Amino acid sequence: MIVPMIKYSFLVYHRDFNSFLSKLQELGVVDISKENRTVDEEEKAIINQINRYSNALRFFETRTPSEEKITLSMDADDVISRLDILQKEREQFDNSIKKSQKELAEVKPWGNFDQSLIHKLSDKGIKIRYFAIPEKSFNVEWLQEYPIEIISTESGLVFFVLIDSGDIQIPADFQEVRQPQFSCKFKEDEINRYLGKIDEIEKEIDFLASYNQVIKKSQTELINSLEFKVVSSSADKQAGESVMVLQGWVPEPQNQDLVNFLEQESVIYISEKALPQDNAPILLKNNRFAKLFEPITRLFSFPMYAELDLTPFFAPFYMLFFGFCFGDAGYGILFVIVATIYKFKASQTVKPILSLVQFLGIAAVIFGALTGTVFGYDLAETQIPALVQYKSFFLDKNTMFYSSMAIGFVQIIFGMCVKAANQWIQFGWKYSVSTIGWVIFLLSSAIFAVLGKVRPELGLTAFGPIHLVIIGIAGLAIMFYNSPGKNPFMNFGTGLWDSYNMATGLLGDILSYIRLFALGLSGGILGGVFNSLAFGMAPDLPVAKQIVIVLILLIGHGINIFMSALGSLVHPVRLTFVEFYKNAGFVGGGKEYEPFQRKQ
Amino acid sequence: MEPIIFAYLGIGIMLILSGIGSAYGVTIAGNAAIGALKKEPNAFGNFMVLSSLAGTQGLYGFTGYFMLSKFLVETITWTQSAAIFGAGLTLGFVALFSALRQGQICANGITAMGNGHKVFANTLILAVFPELYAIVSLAAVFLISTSL
Repeated sequence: MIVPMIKYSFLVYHRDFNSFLSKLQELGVVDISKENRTVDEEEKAIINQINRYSNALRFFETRTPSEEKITLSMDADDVISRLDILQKEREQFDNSIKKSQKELAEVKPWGNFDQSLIHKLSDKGIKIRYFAIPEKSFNVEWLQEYPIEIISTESGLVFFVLIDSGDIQIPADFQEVRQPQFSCKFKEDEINRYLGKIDEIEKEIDFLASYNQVIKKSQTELINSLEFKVVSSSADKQAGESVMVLQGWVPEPQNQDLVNFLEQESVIYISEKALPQDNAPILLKNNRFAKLFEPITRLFSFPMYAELDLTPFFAPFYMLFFGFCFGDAGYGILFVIVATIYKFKASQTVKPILSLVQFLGIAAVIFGALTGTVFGYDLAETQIPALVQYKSFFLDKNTMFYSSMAIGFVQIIFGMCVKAANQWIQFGWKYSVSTIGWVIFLLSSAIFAVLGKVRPELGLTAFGPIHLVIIGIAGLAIMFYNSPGKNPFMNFGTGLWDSYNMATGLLGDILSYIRLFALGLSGGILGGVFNSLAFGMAPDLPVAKQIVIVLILLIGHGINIFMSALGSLVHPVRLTFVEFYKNAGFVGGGKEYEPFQRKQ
Repeated sequence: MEPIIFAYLGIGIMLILSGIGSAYGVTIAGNAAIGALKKEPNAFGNFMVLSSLAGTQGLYGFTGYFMLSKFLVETITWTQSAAIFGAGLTLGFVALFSALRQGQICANGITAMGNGHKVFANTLILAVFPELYAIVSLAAVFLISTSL
């Protein structure tokens, strides 16, 4: 449900405006209208700074702060600037190491040698020349014929040097390479030096990570000051800029607090109840069960102020769909137990998520019990004597296939009822007549089709006399009363268009719910496959057999739980947002209620 | 050729193509999600939902196999194996292209969200359209299985 809002306009003398805003920020209940304003350069700079702090905080989350006490007093800006410098230096050292490693790879075959000796020899007219040729091409007789020495053989190449005093003819097979500019050890030492520097940088970054509370505090102050600035610039200047007019919204339950504050401050104000066509901010208020599903509503869009909040309407269906898709009683019990245990030591922010997991686990247990699936074991196929008598209670795959579409049909009809209710509330009962007509048409067709098959003796068949009367009345509403106030031809044309949309849309929507069956089936079968693998592949050795079975079961069911849970969370979300919201006539686009308050 | 071989060819086509389609589809969208995460790291939940949409076609192939598995016996008739082959071709090819295209739609939506456009809801709706045909094919496989 959407909390009703009261719209306020405050008229404040310009000299008292800042102090009024500070007190309003302390009160923290008014959502200030910030429409029709542009972000100026100063705000952009503050936003950039806040983003820099966020990036730094995110980076520090991956570090282990050093245990040294903070003795150096640094403010957030100093920490961020120093972090930037260290990160740049780190990047430079990383690049230098990469370059040195490349150079090391070139000179490694030549091993360690003294460059100065090479130069001394060169001064005496003895040149050392360097060659590298494939092993297959190397002729060992060359060792006798020429003054060469093999330095190393690696990667299929022979690296050798020739002592050239100036008068040696070398064969064409000798492939000369560039003289190494430095020895292996020189490069290795260089790399170690860089690594040492990087170590120091890392230690300093860990030291900076212990300033994360300082950065958080500065970030919060910046956010508060930005909010203050934005709100301040949202005010309209009137009466030669001496009166500031500010507009905002307050939820009805908190209205009295604001009124008391305004009376105390002797502020002139105008208040009125928010009208449906106002773009009032949305504050959701639901019961304990539906509240758990509000994060799903947030994922899509808040409702408009004029329409109904669909959270309590889709919540039970979502739970049902999860159970259908996950459909394993063993996995469900696991979820409930784990969530219950963690709830005892969880923080307040995590507890709602764990409660949601408990409910979803219960749904999985119910559907697992209905289909007879426990940790991938199909009880409907069991040969265990004690359980054989219960086999007939479990629903078979055909029933589940049709059930998935039946549940979809129920949700679609329910959505259309919600749409009718929305139209009644927003525009009046006349505008909901056509939707109610569709509900009667579809519901009666389904009921009569089922009755005709299941209880033929009643004589109530689809398109029988009674049914025809009902759909005749519904048809009149659909074709001739879909646009109240417009002429009958317009209504008829719109009715035809609605019928076409319904015929094509409804079939696709109902068939979409087959995914519930597909997901449930595949999860169950995969669980069974892992069971077969575990018991089939285990060796016939006393202890090894049990270990292998347990390992395969743990890994297999772990993977299956993860993949099934992911699918079971995502696809009901998709069914809610597409099929249910579409049939419920959800428009959305509402803005969340964000009161102007001091953040801690 | 024995009829059972023909039937299994159809099953193989159904499973292979639908699985490949889903694998490619979720990969295309997943690659886009990784790129978009660099710009919008907080929107991972939305990216994950969109990335996983193309995964259902592989499940439909698996479900289709399951619907037809009871006919895969040595005494299968030519009529039955022809029906299974036809069902396999239908679901296999439709699921393949449906998943590929759905993955591309989701990838484009994810990229747009990474660039700051609020198109999660619209992408979700547009991604439904290619999947509808895979669902219709699965329904056709089911109807074929009930008629055998």
